[in-house]
This record gives sequence, C-alpha cells and structure tokens, in this order.
Amino acid sequence: MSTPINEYLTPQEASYIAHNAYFTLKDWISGQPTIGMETRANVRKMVTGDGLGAAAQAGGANTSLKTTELGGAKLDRVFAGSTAGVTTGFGYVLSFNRAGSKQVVIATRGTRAEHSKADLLTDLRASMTGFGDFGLVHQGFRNTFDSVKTGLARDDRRIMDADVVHCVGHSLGGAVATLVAAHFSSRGKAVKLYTFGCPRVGALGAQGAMEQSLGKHNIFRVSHDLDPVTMVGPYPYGHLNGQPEDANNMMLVSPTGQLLSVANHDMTEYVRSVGGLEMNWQAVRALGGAVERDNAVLARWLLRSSDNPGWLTQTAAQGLSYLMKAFSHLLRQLGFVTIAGLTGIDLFCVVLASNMTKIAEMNSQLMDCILQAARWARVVVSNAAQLTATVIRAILNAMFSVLRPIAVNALQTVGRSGTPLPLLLGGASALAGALIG
Amino acid sequence: MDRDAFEHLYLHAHTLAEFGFMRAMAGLATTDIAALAPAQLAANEADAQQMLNLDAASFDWSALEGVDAFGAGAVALDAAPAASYDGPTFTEALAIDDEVGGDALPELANYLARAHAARTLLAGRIAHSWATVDRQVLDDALAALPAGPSALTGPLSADELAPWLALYEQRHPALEALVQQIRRLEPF
Repeated sequence: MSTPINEYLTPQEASYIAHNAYFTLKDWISGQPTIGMETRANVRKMVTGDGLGAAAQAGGANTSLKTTELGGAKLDRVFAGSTAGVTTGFGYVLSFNRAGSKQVVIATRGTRAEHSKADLLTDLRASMTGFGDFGLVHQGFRNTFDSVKTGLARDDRRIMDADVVHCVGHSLGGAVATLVAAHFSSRGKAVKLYTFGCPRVGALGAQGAMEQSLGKHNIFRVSHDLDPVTMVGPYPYGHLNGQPEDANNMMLVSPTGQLLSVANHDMTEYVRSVGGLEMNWQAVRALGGAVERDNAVLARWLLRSSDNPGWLTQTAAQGLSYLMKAFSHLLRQLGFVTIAGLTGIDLFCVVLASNMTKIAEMNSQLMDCILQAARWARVVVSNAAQLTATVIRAILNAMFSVLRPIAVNALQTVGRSGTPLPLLLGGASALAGALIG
Repeated sequence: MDRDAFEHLYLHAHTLAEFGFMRAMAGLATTDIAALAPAQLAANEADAQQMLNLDAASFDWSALEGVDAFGAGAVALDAAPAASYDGPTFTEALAIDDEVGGDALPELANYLARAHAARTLLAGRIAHSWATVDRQVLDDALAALPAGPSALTGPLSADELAPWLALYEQRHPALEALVQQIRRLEPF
C-alpha cells in the first residue's frame, strides 16, 4: 500500500526544518551562540515567523516555514538535549494538520564543535551500545537520544496521538532523529525520517532492523558525496538506506565541485541542493544520478581535499584514488557487486573481517592489488604467503592515518575562523559545517 | 654522500614509490579478469551479501583488533596531528593540481620535472630526512643497487629514471629496500 503524498514532508520543508532547528541553540540567531536554550518566541520567529527577514534577502537563506504549506503549523515545544555532558537547546516539536490527518514534526539539530568535541574516530568498537531490540548503535548518539527523550516526554501524548510523525535532522541531529524515529516506530507510530549529512548510526544489523521497523520508503537520506561526516564510522557501521540501489538513498554531487570543503556538510548547502520550491523527492532522486557511485568515494574525497596538511596525506590521496579504482574494478569483476558503494576504508575492513585474503589467493590480480597496497603502506611483502591479516591491518592503519588529519584539519579550519556567519550566509548552517557527532 | 646527493635520492625514491604505485593501480583498474563460472560469480555475490548482513552475535571482532580506529590506538578527532612540517606538501610543491581529479596518469617526465623543480620548496622536509637518516645503512643500501643505470643520487632525466622504475616495478629487493628506507624517514 502506498503512502499518500500528503503524509510526507517535501524536500523544501524537510531541509528548512533541519536548518532552522539550529535556532533552538541560545543566541544562534545573533551569530554568537552560547550554551543554553533559545527562547520559545525567538524559535517560533525562526521556524514559522519572519525568520531572518531582511538579512536573508541580503544573501542568506530564510528557512522559516512561513511561506510553505507548514506556515500555519504550531510550535509546541522547544526541548533540550545533551552532548558530551553539555545541555543546550536541541530541537522542537511542531504540529499541523494536513489533508485531515494530525501530523507532528520532531526536529533535532547537530552540535557545535566548541560545545562538545568530535569523537567519531575514537574507539568505534567500545563506543557501541545496545538500542532496544534494534541492536548496536554508537554510544554518543544513544546518549544524546536519551537526553532528548527526556525532553520529549512532555509531548509524548501529542506525538502518540498523531497520525504521522516526521523526524528531521542534520549531522548529529540526523543521527538522533534516526533513533527518535526508531523509538516511536517501535511503539507503533507511522514515522517518516529525513536526514541530511547524517553519520552512520548503527552497526551489525541495527541499521537493517531500523529499516524494517520504519519501512525503507519512509526513510529519506540526503547526502553530498564529498561530505566527510557521512563516511564515519567505517564498516561494520552502516547507513539506513545505504545501498546504492536504495531508492531513498539520495547522494548528490557536492557543491564544492572538485574540492573537499566542510561546506559539503553545511546545512545551508543542503538547503540549496534540495530546498527549491519546485523540488520533489523524485527530482532529488534524479539529481543523484549525477554521482559516480563507486568504491572510490573516500579516495575521491581525499583527492579533492584542499586542506591536506602533509606529504602522505596529499600523495597518499592520489595513490589511494588509484588503489580504490583498481580494487573496485577487480571486485566487481569477481562478482562482489553488492559491496559497491562502500568507501575504501570500509572495503579493507571487509577484507579483514571476512578473511577476503582467501579470495585474493584465488585471483592473481586481486592479490597483486593488495600486495601493492601493502607496499604503499610501507610494508614490504614479497609473496602471497606473507599477506596476513597483520598486513591488511597495516594498510588500514595507513588509510586511517590519511583520514584522520584531514578530518581534524577540516574541523580546525572552521574552528579557527571563529566567525559566526549565520546572518550573513544564511543561518545556522553556515556554522553547522563544524558539526560532527 | 652529501646533502645535494641526498636531495636527488629523496626525490627519486618518492617518485618511484608514488608514480610506480599509481601506474600499477592504473594498470589493474583496466585489467580484465578471466571470466568466472556463473556458479562462482553467484557464490561470490552471496559472500558479499553475507559480508553486509551482519549480526552482532557472529561478528568476529578479533579480525579488527590492531586496527587503530577499533581499539586502544584510537585517537580523538580533535587530537593534534602526530607530526607537521612547514611549507607546502610534496604534491603542492610539484603543483600537479591540474591532474588531480582526472583519471589520466601523469607522464613520468612531467612528474619528475616537477619533483626536481620542487627541491627548494621541499627543503624543510628533505632536511628532516637528511638529519634522521642512518647514513651507513643508506650507503650500504646504495651499494647493493645494481650497476648500470645512472645513479639515483644525481640529476636524472625521465629516460634515465625509467630503468629504475622498471626495476622497482619488478620488485628488485635492493631498490625496494632503499625506497622504503627513504620513505620511512617521514612518518605517517
């Protein structure tokens, strides 16, 4: 049974909500955000009121819903959430009627780098924790969800009485929205999930269990192909609707073209990508056709980085690009088409976890490819017999060593600027580029 | 060996490693594998499905032990980089941005010319390597190289470097050891 179209948010509505949820952070509206929660009146102004007004007309984006069909929606509550022990305004609940059905939006925002340090590349195994019957999710996201759940408790009846619940978020907000969606779905609600630049939330089957609960057609995942936040953490973490063939896996060409930029994670850029008035989800899906979906995603990201700080980072990015092209090409010819779409680091995690060195032993070209990768990682291996898990780990560590300084540099570059840009560049998302789990 | 000779060796070793690796991968990326039997292709596809359909109970974490991101070696994203250098990176110094993003492999002559042109820009990095190299071990490694091709410690044209590249691609053990010794002077 297909869901009536009026039970979905449009791309414009969803992207505006993911964007204006940042205004729940105290003083975001002034460009000088501080720890705390914004007043309800100010949040209402930004969500359903005049928004940025003249400032937006000067070049920024006004993501108030006032001019959309949700202009008459009611802002019910602004709620708090905690990241790394810091409690701030974290989102809002909005209710409206559409085509005779009661609908609720739960909007969650990302977090600011200066309010809680990014930790997505900390121990990814130790960071796993259980989430209901769904399985394992990242501890940091779970902790934030728990704090948000407390804030949402007062709206529980309103949410449970709604015919449709829309969960929307960008970056960490997307991760929390995912858990909020799964939570209410497990309680029997009809939930739609919309994420922008969302990191990987679950691992080892949790993402599949959440997909099953929500229904894949109710999960709208929008990403830019060179948005670094969407690439962590690596396998066995995975995205909801993460496979290339997933209809609602809407990966778009990054706005910065050939250069990696934190702007690719910027919510303003997502608004620009999908927030056009005439855009519908089918049109967004069509935009995804322009992306080259291959296993070189990470390599292309590295290759295009304008922020690479070191010799290996830069030269390895070039070499890594060629490595991934070759690895992807060979695996596809060997029939491993299902793993297309994973990043380079994912693939080598797969090699390790699945003992794919045995497969390499069956094919000389694949073996040569891995041997060359080992050499690139400065491990001298002369024959297949020496190709052990230890060597693959060395390759992976070399790849991580390339990944990490770029991610650090991307965050520090934004942090160094120290310039609150919301009013000039279109709202919270100009700073949201610094956001990461 | 003096500093000038080491600079040539540094540039040539890195060029052999990086250019050789790119060329090897570019070749593999266009290689056609002998067609597998349909049954084998189906089996591999099933294996791939299994790799992606995991469950926590059966996943073997021991395989990922020793990978920094999954264990004690993991570092916070906001930690300081392990090492840093002033000045441009190697490829920035080589100014090969026009080739970045494309599929075409750069010409060896072009790559080498830019490497030589980048000597001044890379002076800090070369100085670091020169200061830390074990010169006796380096001399021994040079002595183990095959006679014939022009010395790696002097200026080389692409034609002169080509025989060394061929040896590197053939995994000549002495050349392999020398190149790795030079590359390891700069940490990851």
